[in-house]
Amino acid sequence: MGSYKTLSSSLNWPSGLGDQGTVTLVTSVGLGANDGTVLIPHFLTSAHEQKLPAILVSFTQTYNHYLHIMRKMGMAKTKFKFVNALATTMVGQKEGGLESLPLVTRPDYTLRRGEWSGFFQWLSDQTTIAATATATGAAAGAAEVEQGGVVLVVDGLCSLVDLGMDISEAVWFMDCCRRILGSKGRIVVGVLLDEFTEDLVRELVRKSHYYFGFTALVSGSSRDISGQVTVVPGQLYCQLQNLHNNSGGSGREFKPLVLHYCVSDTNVQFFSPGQSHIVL
Amino acid sequence: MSSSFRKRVPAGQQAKPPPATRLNPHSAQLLVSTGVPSLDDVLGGGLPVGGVLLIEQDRQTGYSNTLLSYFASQAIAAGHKLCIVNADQKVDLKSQLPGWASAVRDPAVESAGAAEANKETSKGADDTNAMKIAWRYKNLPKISSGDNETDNKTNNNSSSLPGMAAEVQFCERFDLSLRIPGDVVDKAQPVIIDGDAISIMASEERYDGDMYRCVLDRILELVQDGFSSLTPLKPNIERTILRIELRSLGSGFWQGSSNTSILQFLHELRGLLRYSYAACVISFPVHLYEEAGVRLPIVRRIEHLCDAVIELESFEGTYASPADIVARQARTDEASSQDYHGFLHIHKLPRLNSLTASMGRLSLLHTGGGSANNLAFRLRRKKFSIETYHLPIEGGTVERRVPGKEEDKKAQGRQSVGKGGVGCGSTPGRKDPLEF
Repeated sequence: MGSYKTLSSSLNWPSGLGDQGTVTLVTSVGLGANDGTVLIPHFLTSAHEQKLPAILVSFTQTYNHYLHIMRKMGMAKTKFKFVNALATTMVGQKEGGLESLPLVTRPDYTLRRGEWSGFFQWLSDQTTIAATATATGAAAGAAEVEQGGVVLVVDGLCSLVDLGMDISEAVWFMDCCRRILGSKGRIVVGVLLDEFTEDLVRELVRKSHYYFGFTALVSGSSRDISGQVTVVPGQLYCQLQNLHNNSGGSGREFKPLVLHYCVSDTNVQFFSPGQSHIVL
Repeated sequence: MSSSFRKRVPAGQQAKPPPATRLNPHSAQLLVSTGVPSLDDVLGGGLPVGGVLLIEQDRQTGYSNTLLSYFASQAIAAGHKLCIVNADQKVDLKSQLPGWASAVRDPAVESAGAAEANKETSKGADDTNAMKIAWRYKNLPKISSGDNETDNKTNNNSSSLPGMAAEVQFCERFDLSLRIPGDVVDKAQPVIIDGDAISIMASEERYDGDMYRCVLDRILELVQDGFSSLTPLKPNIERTILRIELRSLGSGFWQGSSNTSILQFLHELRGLLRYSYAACVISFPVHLYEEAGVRLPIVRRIEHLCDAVIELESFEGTYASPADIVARQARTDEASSQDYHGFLHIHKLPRLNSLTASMGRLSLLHTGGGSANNLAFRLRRKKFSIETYHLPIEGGTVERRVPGKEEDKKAQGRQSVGKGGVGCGSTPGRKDPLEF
């Protein structure tokens, strides 16, 4: 199954991704199915369809978890690099740790707490490789290659707060990633919103262009509908709009919207409120 | 239509799952039993290997400890490695763990039944020689008309623990009125890290009093000792499961280096378990993290860091005073006659390798999604069970009972002597105004 077409068309995102150089913040509330991680397969697959390199940094789950989900959703061919930020305790050290895993499920990089410089260097190398590949493709006349950078998806950034880091350090981590990816890259950040991480989310909203808020249904629980998502422009979106206007471009208009969604094992369906009986 | 044909795969290539585990068909996740079949049902078949179950403890009562004792008993019954961490007090497993209800596991019964088992085996062999079974049915298991205990007795596979049934079941049946024999517990060699041991370990210079860090290192050592999925198994050694119990994690006895030590511990524990053949159950005294009846924000973070979260809300602990609880526990008849002992709240279900929880499809108790059924637990004399909560009959069963004829006559006699008798204006219990 391809990317979430309804969501993309509602957002007026033909490629399924936000504009280049943007930061998309995805927040989730609660412990149940109203979880923003349902968007991760969408962003990774959209990047793959646009022939953009994608990197997934996860602080909450293993590579196997995402592979299983994407396989069930028919996105097994989606290629992306995985950075493990969860299993940082050295298990099986003598046997090579995570290096002993089969190639299919082996993370491309393990991010350990405090060892940011190694990760930033690796990310910078990936960005350079992507830029080189884009230039080569453009030189070869491949028109369908978007001249874009890396799509970086970070799942569970709030875990840095769990690990005892200051909020400013987590925000600094995102700023560094954004600077490394440059004006061509895109960042998607997933955070769990609660009283503990409220300050972190507020800081990130100030530095984002798009904001997706996954919550439970306002009207109460439902068997058919998993929750609702509110999409609004972030604080930096106005800068983006000014750029579009100054460059004389048509500027795709981004409208705030509220969608309901239903999550199943093999699919995530988005629809307008009140349209569940048509879609489901 | 299912076929009886099976592709022959060489024995060396077949990946044999650990004993007493099963595979979740929806998420391809290995599951272990918690020891309580109804709790397994609620979780969607069992506790995922590599997952963490958080039990938010009931206040002032000990029902969550009963769940933990089931988990430990199931570990011993299944031949799994058991590790218990309790910073509050000393752990005495021999007096806590419920024994198995199956007579086969009882050594006394099994030794007496060994002769009977041999007779049945020889009888079965004679039957086989007498009958000519078609080749396609020869390898299928024989369906016995007897009960399961008979089948277990005739199985010739060996087990590592004496007195154990040859065939290890996914979930053993336990009896709370019995106890696992002490020698069986000793043979299982559970790793117990209790209050004193943790304090001594945490006093080392590298830990600087951080009990969470020292417990995590100890768990890491255990995992590396044959339970890591990153480490190849030694030859001729069967893969088994490590079951970890953390009792009253986060209570006042747990000391950390900072306020977020417990969060860091849970995050790293999750990362550790994901690459191991281990499952963890944690009991958490959530009532210690409340202010004016409102939970502190850290509780939600702790819930996020666990894969499954359930809460036991006992009626006694929530609504009764401590004196009432003690008095009620002394009256065992009343306690056992009570229908339910509390509610079971499901806050989070495991979603490993899946976007949705498989409980909604597999559970008989809970329909999933918007909770249509309220779940309650009941502690009987012999077992702990989770059931769908139904309101009792209005007025109770005693008041609705139809009185017998003798009771009727007695009631009428009381009414006629000195009180309002049977007359036109008579009212039961009142003096008849027309009576002279």
